[in-house]
Amino acid sequence: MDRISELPDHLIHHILSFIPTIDVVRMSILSRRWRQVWYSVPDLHFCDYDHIDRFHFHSQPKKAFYKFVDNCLKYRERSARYIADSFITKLRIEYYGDKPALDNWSTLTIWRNIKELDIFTEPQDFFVVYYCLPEAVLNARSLTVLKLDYLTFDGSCSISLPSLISLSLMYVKLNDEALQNLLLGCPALEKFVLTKGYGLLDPKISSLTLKFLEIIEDDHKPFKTLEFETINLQSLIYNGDRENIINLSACKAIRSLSLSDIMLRELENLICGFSLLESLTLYHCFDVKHIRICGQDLKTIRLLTVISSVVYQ
Amino acid sequence: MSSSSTTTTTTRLLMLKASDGVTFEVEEAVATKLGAINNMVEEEGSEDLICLPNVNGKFLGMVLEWCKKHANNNTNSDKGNDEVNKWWDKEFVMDLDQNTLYHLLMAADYLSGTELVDLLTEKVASMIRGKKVEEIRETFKIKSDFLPGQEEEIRKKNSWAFE
Repeated sequence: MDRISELPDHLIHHILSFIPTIDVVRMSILSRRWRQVWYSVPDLHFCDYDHIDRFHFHSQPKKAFYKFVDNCLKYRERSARYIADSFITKLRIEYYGDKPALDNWSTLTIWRNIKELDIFTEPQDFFVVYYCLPEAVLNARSLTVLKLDYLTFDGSCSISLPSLISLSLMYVKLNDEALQNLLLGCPALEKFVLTKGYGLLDPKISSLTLKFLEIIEDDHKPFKTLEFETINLQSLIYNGDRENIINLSACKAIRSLSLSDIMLRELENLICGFSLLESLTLYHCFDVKHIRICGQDLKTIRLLTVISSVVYQ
Repeated sequence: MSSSSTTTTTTRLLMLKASDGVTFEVEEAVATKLGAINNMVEEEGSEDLICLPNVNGKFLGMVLEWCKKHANNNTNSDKGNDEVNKWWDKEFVMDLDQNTLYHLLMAADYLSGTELVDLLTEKVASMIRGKKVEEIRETFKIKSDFLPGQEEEIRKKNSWAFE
């Protein structure tokens, strides 16, 4: 036998985790060794760009993509019943368009075993209809890593993600209440990245377990206020808008703080309250009149284009 | 020879013995880049000679070469070093023939060298990516052992993946 076919299944799965799922399924006609392989690959990656590329002459590449994902997931769901350890644990779906194709997939039982999920749906139209995330996904008990782009979800639906450790939301549309509801449903969350969310006015980041937080605000729709109830937070990266006010008084455990594009009037003495602070970065901070920086463990301070005077102690 | 060393952490040397009897003397910090060896060191403690019956000397040597590079650069890890490591890794896998790639991957997997397994599987994936089935067969010399008509049957059954 050739070398690659001799490799044990777990190494073949590892190799195929780098390959778009469409090609993995097509590899089933390589030989008998490969015929069943795609039924147990744990890591799936669907991207409609792969299809536009493959189906260059196809009259409806989008339709072909949906049909493919549909069939693939259905076959995998069925085969999981008789092939041992053939659960899908990592799923990435990327598509460009506004058709909520995920609805067909939301009823599947695959969500029960999924550990990492990444959904990217960039709308093509200017008047965006955000795709609403199905409730099944928001109650996937095994999920540890969730990354969502250009989505929304119903603020009133029940959310329970007890295993979730890392959450990333980018260009997601949600209101203050929905965000709070979401964080309440993630009792093990340690890392949260929020990039340019739409619809947030006075968000409150509330979590007992959160250690790493990164927030990048949208320049056009800044928050009015931003509140943190994160007593165990160790690292905060905040890229804000000049006019809003942030309140960090509850973040006593912070070790690494990086702030950019904010007004510092409010921060003047606050930094002295962070006794564990090791690293401080201020970038593009305005309206600094007088800021006192102190801390026993402070190892690095970076100040870049901070307007006005600074006094070190 | 190394008695002049004044550092507090004296580097312990381990002896690794491959399946063909070839032995390698390596620093503990290098060898423990491999999860399997790290476990043995932690469990058995004082044992200085470790026999590895599933890897031959040629491939064990290559695995250790990789470990040495990555253990050294770990001590002062910064972005510049990351880049250097990436370049080194690229060179390391660049001209490997499929036979070597196979044995190296099996060795890295057996020794639980997670990062090395990542590097090697990614390398194999790069040889598959973007290729048609016929091209993959040719690249890896895979012989189709289907009965006449069977391949066509699979294509038809899974037409949603082939149309």
